[in-house]
Amino acid sequence: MKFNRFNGRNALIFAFPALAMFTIFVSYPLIQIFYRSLFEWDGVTEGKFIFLDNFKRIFIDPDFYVSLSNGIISAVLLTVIQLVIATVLALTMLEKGIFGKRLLSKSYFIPVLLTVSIICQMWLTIYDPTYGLINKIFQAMGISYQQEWLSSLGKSSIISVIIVLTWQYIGYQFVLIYTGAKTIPEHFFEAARIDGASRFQAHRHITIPLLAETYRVCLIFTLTGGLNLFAQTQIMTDGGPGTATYTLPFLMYKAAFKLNEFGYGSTVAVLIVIQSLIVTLLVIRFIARERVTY
Amino acid sequence: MSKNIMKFVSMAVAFLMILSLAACGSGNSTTTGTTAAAEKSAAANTDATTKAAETKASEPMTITLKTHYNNDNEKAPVDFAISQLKNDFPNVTVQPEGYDTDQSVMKARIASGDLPEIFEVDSSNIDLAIKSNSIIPLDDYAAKYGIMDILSPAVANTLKYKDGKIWAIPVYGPMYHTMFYNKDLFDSNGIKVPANFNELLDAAKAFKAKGIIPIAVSGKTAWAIGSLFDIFAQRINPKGWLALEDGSAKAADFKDAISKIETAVKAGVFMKGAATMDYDPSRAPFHAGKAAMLLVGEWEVSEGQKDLGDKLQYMTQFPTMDAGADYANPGVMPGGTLLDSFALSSKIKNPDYVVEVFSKYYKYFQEAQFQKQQVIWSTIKTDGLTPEKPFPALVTKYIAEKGKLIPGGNTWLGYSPNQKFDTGFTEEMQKLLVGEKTDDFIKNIDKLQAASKQ
Repeated sequence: MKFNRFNGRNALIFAFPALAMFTIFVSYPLIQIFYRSLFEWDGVTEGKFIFLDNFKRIFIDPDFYVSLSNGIISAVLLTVIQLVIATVLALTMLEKGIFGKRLLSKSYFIPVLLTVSIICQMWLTIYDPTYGLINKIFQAMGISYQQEWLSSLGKSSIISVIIVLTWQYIGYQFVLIYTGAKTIPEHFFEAARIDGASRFQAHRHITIPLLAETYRVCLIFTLTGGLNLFAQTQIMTDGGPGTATYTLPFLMYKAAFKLNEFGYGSTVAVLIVIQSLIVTLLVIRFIARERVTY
Repeated sequence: MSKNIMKFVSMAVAFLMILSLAACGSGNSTTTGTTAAAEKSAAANTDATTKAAETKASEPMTITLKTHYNNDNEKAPVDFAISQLKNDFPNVTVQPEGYDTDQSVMKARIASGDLPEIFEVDSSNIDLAIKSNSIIPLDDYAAKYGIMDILSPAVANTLKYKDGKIWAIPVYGPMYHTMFYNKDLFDSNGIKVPANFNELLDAAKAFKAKGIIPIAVSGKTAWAIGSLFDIFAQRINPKGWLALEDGSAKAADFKDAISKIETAVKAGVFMKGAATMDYDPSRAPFHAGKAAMLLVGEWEVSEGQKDLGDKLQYMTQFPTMDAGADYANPGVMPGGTLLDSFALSSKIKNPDYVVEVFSKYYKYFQEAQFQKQQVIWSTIKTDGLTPEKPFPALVTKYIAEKGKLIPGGNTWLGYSPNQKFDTGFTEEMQKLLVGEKTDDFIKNIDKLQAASKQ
């Protein structure tokens, strides 16, 4: 039997489930968020149409600017730390003769598999100012530097939370970069060796440029992941102390589920969507614009 | 051919989008419909009330009860009450359902109308439940089925909601928050149990020098941080933070209390990291004998004894006033009656009969709480009830003293209907705990009062 992939009916059959799912789980909630952002609504009773008042309110809300700034810090730190460490690990793992290579490469991925709540509980213990590992290490080394890692009005609380997110998902970026690097044909490196290139030069001029498309995907994940930091904040600090660890998703959660302001929460959600879209489009526009083939 | 496919797929997407929009458009009317249905249902309930006598006791009926039923301690009194209920209402099957600590689940159920017949609702959701006609008023039923007769006066007086109606019956009676201390740690280190603020600072200094935490408290827990404010503020105004919430006082009125908290923070009176410390980790060092004092609810009077035994003591006067000054507002304590209450769904077909069943259940449940679980915050009069096991000496002492204590307000921070204030105040208190200045705190509370005015 000849299968005609350009047959309209076949296209419908195959496309419909995906389209339906996309509509139900993505398009419909998105449209609802935009629609509800125009209302003063408690999530239960009938809302009052207030047009753009929620948007006017958000731009004079100091919590919004704290959240936005924390999100940007989170995105930048997550991207820099994760991509640098994951690249170093991946390139190291490409080397031959590394002891325990298989065990190591698998162990990097273990934190990704653990639930966020377990990871957060573990880091809460590590960060404990009285009995935590970090302060105890300083103490054991005779260093008097003791820090209340999660209880500071400055940026140290949010940075402490970001480190948890960064640590958990380094393994994910490692797998993407390592897998991408493994697909680069060996003869590129052989040619580089013949030309007298060192390993560092080979990676700098061959591996990393050829991984441009992989880095584009990694960048989208890290930037949007950083901007959307929520679970770690909610579990570890609940946004505190004060509003020091607020992020936009947390602000949305607080508005909708703590204060019953679902209309305002939807407005924050709209900005989260727009922010993530802009970042994704910028990465697609400026990173790895030419397709890498080898 | 590929053009046709594109056309077709585009049409399919457009069709699905139109469907989505249509669904969006009906959002309001659905809500309106829900409200109308609830109103209809409330009207039907009134009719049903008059027809209640027609209900046959033999008709099988299943009632879902959403309540604290998540561990053995919580299950025991519920199971006991259900088993007792079988004698009175053999036709009724009560199915308990666990409680969701995250009240957003209840919020979603109120929004969708998917409510059990009887359920616990907290003060953050009760407004929504009333506005959406999801629950029935219980004024007439509470009198008719004797609920009012069994309630202790302290609870009966707090039943009416701000609109003057009884919408729910409290699960808990008044619970106070107090300062517990480890007597042994004070004695063995030669430190005097502080009676005033200066002695508190001295004790904190001495404990810190020995590596002992002076006061453990969970700043992440709204009610605990509210009570921390109250032990200082109630010496000035018995309502404490509630006076700020209802607008009867300004933050500047509490300047002395706030600056004392600031001084205490600087002196290291509170545990490190208190501002974002969870409830359980805040108690752990106290139970392990590594913290001298703990600010927590009265349940610690029995729970703390498991680890500390006779070392455990409590205060009903806090070391928060200057030396030489008379203790202001004696007996006034943080805490109060928690607005976590049983409500009945407006979708019940025969509310009269269900309330009758509920009133019996409620009595058995509260009796079991007191007699079997040794719960000391029962909502009912306990005269004449004998606990199965005698209370430990400290609990007996506390029960005797409890009658003389006065709640500063009728709710806890984090549980009042004004969540905007509660959330903002919790955040401001956390800032105070990490070094915010008194004047900044006062300014921010002024702004919060204006923003959260209801």
